[in-house]
Amino acid sequence: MSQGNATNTTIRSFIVKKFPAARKRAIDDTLPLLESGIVDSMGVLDVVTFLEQSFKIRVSDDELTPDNFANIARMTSFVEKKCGQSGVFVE
Amino acid sequence: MSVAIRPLSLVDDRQELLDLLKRNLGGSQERRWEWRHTANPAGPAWSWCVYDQNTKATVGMASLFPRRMLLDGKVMIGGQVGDFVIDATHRSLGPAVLLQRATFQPVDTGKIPFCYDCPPHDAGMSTFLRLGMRPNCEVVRYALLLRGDQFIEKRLGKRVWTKPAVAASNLFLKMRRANRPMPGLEISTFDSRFDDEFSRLDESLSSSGAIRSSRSATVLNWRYRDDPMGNDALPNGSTGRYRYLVARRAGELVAFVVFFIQTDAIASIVDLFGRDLSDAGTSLLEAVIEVCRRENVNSVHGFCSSESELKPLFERVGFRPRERAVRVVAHAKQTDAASNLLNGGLRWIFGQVEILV
Repeated sequence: MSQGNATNTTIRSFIVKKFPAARKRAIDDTLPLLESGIVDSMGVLDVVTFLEQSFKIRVSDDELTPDNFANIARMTSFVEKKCGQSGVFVE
Repeated sequence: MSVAIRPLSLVDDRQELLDLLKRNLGGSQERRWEWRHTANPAGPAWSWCVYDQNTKATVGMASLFPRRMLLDGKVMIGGQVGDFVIDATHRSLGPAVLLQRATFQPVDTGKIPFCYDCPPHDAGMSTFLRLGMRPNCEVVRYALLLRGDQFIEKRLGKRVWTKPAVAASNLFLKMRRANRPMPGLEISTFDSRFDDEFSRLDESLSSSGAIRSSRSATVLNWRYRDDPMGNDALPNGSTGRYRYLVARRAGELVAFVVFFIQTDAIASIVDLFGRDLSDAGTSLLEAVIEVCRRENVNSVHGFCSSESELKPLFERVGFRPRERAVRVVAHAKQTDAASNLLNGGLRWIFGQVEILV
C-alpha cells in the first residue's frame, strides 16, 4: 500500500469509527463532511487532534479551513503535504 | 482559501464593519453603532477583521467592548467579545480561531486585565476548546408561564376545542399565589435618569469573592437610557422597551429591576440588583409579574449563573430552569492578578446584563 493510500485509509477509518452518521451511509472521498452533517464543529476538533497525534503534524489556526478539512480527499492531501514538509513518515 | 487578521479602525473602516454586521445579523446596525462602539463610558471598542488574502475581501469580524466590572470588590475595566460574525462562505474553525485570538490582544498587551466571551452554542465553544480553554461558568434561562395561549396553540394548533383548554390553563396560571410584599418596602416605577443613589448602591455592595458588572449611574444611563434602540428593540432583534422598578425602604433605594417587554408578549428580566435581595428582590419580581399580567404577557424569562443570588429568587416566585443560554469563557494574562482571581474560585454572579453586549 502506498503512503497516500495508507493515509487515506487511516483517516477514513477514524471518521467511520468516530462519527455515527458516517456509518449509516457510504462516504466517498469527496463527500463534504461538514455540509452533510457527518462532522460538526466540535467533531472538526476531534479530527484535527487525531491528525496531529497520528501523523505527528502541527495544524496551525489558518490551516483550519474547508480547503483542508472539507472531505477525506482534502484531509489526505493536507496530511501528505504536511508530512512532506516535516519529513515525517508514518506507516 | 488563505485568511489573515488585521485590526480595524472604527472611523476609517466604519462602513465595512457595518456592511459585515448587516450581511450576517441583518437589522439596522447603524442606529446603535456610535452608542456601542464609541460612546461607551468604559472606552471605545477594539475591532478586528479576517480577510481573504487572495481577494482581500473582508469575510468576518469581532469586537471587544470594554466593560466596567467588579472582581472581588475591585473595579476593573474588562472586555466583552461581541460582533463575532463570519460570512457563510468562510465560516469554519480557522477564521473563528484567528478572530478569537485577536480579541485577546488588549489583554495580552496589558491594556485591560481580562476579557470574556459568551458562546451560546457548541460551534462557538469549539474555538475555545481549540485554544485549550474551558468555560468559567454557565448562564441558564429560567421561565415563568403567565398565559397558556401561545404554549397550547403551538402544540395543539388553533382549533375550536383549543379555546377551552387555553381558558382553563390561564385560569390555573392566575391561581398562582404571590409572595406578600415585605412590610416597609415601597415598590414604584422609575422613569428618570439614573443618579448618584444608584452609584452609592453599587458601591455599597462590594461583592467580595465574586465577579459582576458595575451598576454605576453612568453605566446604567448608557446601557438603558442612552441606547438608541432601548425603547424599541433589543440586540436580538425583538421589539419592545425597557421598564424600571425600584424598591425603597424609608425612602432609601435598596434594589431595582430592569425588564423588557417585547411586543410579542414575552418579557425578560434584564437586571435585578440591590441589597436584601431575598426580600426586595422577591417583591420586585412579584411587581414585574403583576405588570406583565396586566399587559397580557405570555411568559417572563430570567437568566442567571448557578452561583447568582437570582437563582433562589427565580425559583421562589415560580420560574423554572430551562436550557443553558450561554457559557462564559474568560481570558487573562497568566501572570496577572486578574488571572489569579479568575482561576481562584471567584463566584460568577452573572445575569442577562452581563451577557448582553
